[in-house]
Amino acid sequence: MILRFLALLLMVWPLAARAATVAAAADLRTTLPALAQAHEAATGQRITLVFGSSGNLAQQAMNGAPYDLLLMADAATAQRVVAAAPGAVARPYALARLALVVRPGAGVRDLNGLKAALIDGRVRHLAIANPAHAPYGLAAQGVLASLGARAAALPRLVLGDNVAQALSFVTSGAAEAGLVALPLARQAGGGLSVVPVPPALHAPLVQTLVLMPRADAAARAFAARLTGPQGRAALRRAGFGLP
Amino acid sequence: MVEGLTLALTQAGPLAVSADLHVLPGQTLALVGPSGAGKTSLLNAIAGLVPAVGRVQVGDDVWQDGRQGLPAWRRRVGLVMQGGGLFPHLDALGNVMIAQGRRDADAALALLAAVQLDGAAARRRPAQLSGGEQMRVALARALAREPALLLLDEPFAAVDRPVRRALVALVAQMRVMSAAPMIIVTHDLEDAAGIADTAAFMVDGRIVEQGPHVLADPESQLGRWLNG
Amino acid sequence: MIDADLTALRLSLALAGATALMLLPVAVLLGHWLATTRWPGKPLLEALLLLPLLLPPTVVGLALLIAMGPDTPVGRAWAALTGGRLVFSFAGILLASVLINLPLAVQPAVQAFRGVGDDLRRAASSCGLSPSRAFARVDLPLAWPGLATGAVLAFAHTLGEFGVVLMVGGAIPGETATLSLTIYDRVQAFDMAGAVRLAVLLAGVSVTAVALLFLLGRKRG
Repeated sequence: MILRFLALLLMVWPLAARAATVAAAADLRTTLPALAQAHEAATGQRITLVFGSSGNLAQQAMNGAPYDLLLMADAATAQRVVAAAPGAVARPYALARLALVVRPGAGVRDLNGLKAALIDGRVRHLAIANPAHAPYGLAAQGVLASLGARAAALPRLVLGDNVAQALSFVTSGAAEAGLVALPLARQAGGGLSVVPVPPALHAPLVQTLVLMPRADAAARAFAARLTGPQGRAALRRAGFGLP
Repeated sequence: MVEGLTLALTQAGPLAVSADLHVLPGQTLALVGPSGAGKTSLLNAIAGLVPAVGRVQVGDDVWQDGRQGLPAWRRRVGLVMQGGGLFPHLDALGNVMIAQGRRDADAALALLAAVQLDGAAARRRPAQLSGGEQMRVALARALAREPALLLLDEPFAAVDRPVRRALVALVAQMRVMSAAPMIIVTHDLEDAAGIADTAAFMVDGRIVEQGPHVLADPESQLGRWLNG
Repeated sequence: MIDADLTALRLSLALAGATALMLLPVAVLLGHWLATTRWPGKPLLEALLLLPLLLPPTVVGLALLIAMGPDTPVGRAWAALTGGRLVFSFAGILLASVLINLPLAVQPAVQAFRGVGDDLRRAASSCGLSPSRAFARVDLPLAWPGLATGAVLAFAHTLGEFGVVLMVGGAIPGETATLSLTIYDRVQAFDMAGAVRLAVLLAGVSVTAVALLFLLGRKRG
């Protein structure tokens, strides 16, 4: 009797305890937790969130990390995962928006003022994500090019590992300004002024989700919620564009 | 002109020690007593290595007066510590030369020769020397400073009988090389009798008896301690 | 090997070497003092000195990032002195590196000076050596192996250090982008070949440099 009960428990327990693991790019840090909570409340399914840089998370997924759903900040990284994991499916879920964040003392009111401030040294350090691997870094470089400020910015650039760390360079007071993700910038506080960057100033950054082959019903349901009306509304409120 | 060592010293601390002693130039005082009596503490206090209160005067030089005292390195003392206290990173020659006022290798080699260590031994480090040889180096080092006072702390304790006899002879011979008053700590009366002119008997941190007669008198407190 | 590899390698070696060199006098003075003092606050100070090892690098890095900012007293003093900035500069990661390696350099020094012992210090002063001469001729030569060990540990740890430099460096090539940081960036950019090439380089250089330092330490000791 007891043995049969234990056997039953062992069969059922993994299913009951299994939570869908969602690995998300750092720019979703302020948006995703509320959405996951709402999903848990509505469905009883459990969602575990992991945040990191898109590159890192993709590497981990390709090397067997138990992620069910990846939310990447760009399309290229997502395509890499799909190519490496047969059966994985990619789908766009949002368009990234950037913002210029400026510390109070730097005297930069808008994007046009940035170039002058870079040249005259009011902005000694401009923080962006590392363009070598972070999608937001690449987009930030695009913005600087569109503003004609690429050469002026070059000696001033400091690179964060990901977009959240780039923002922390500014919030800590170490850098005067940064080009970071708009949703994160809005939540930063600390008297920083936040200037949204028009999407036309950089190549579109198509945030792309990847449903891994191992994804179960909970992960698929959460992906559907993210791309459905509820998710779209939450993403728009946070400052993302929509595909 | 005050001759020799005059001492009236009290040392607090873990073991309270107090002593009044007078040792003349060329004279050797054997400081005898049971272990734990404070003999080493007294020597360290005289050398200025531990704080003490009182008066230490050697010739006309006042080393200590009340709480004021010269730092240890300015007291011209030749100290032979228990076990020798040689510097392990220096060879025998280096150990002697480090104590010289002016570095003089020839003089140091002569000192080593006087304690019967040849040029080959002079190049060895303490770890390569026997216990008896280490004590010889320590004796030579104590003389190298041209000391005004010689303090020897159980120089024969760590060596066996034959070596011990040779060392005792050597210490007796040191009297030829240095006229400084000498205090030698020992708990062996036989050793003491071979070298010392006078003795002091120390018990529980105090000198209870002193004078030349202490060495020979079986009815003295020292004599009774030794026989009882 | 490409230029970027060499730039990162040169920077890492310069940072590790400068860290070890700057820590050596600190370890000598602090180690000797801690080994000989009877000051009652010593255990607390020794515990504080271990703090960089007790805290995760990100915490230390964040604290330094905030402390070295241009508007802090430290940042302003540095600007007044040099006209430059401490954050995102070589001087900044060097300062961070010196601070986080403090326990690695000082602890072996404390043990080494403690090992010299009171007896030999007494022997030195009874040989007429003034405190400074006793320090130079007895303490220092006897403690040298411990000091060398500390310097080698600091050197090796700096070559491999990642978290703190990531937090305060800003990954500027030739200025703050160290070898270990560059490896991490390559991995993230899916440049596995480049990452492996640098990793092998780092391992080879570290082992060689540390072996040389040990050899040097043994000859002197």
